[in-house]
Amino acid sequence: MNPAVAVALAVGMVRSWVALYTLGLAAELRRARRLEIDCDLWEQRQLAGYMREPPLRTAAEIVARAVLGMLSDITWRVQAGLSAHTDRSLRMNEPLPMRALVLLAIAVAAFPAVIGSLVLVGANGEMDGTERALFGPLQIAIGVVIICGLAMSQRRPVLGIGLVATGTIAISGLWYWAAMITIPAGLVLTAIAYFRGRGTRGAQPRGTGAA
Amino acid sequence: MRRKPGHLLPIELAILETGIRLRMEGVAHFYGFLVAREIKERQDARLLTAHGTLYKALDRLQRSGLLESEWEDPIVAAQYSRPRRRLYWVTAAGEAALAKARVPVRKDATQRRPQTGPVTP
Repeated sequence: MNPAVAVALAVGMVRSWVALYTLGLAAELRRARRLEIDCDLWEQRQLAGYMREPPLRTAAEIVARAVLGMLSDITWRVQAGLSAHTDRSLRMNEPLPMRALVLLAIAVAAFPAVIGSLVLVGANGEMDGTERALFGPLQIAIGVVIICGLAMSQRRPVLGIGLVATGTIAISGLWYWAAMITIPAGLVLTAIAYFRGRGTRGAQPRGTGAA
Repeated sequence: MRRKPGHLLPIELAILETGIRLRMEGVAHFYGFLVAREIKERQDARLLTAHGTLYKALDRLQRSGLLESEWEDPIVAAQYSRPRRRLYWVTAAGEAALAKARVPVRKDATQRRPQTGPVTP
């Protein structure tokens, strides 16, 4: 292998690793860490060139520095994620009426899951074994999807609203005979997810060390 | 395992020491790679400090208020055709923490010495 290619590969590997472990962090924090590592890699290559160090040795040292620090990178990532989460929770503290509304919505969304559980244990005598095995878990899954969507609507509005909408459409289709109830209820649940997500839009974690 | 508040790891002590020594030598600010190189030379290590270990320690020191940092002026970096450096410096709290961390070590050493007793031939 061409020695210069080895250095480029080592640098690429480190950059990929940094890109991987900073995924999901606040943009500024992610950018700051990437810039700092990029600068470090550049300085190391410059010094190696100045010292006329063999490129393979430089490449090996770059890889070794990355590998030996991976555990620290992971623990740093976990801590950075937790502090950002705590910060978001503080900033995104919702008014009491909204929290009460979300709790009510979760209780409504739990209804299909409760019905699904009853079907699964055979409380509905009209269904045979195959129907129970199909409709029970399906209704439980729909209830869980809606609840997850409502819970996520604060931090990930698009995903949260999408899950709530998908779940409510699915339950309206499954319980087509109760469409007069399921469709308006679904619209209300989706609206709650939407307004919850909208209310927290623009909140950013602090202390990200902007570059 | 959670660390005791105020307890400094060897890498954190080395960073603070390096920062203070560089300042005494006229280098007001330091950056990640410079401190890694200084530690390597000082400790006669085979490798530079790992990226994760170094930048996590710098981050922790900054969060504790023992270091401060700012990004280098992009114009300066452009003049030298290199990426921008994140420049750090040791705060007064950092100097105090280093001094405090060094004192118990010396105390322990002086307390332990008499207990070792004379070496029998």
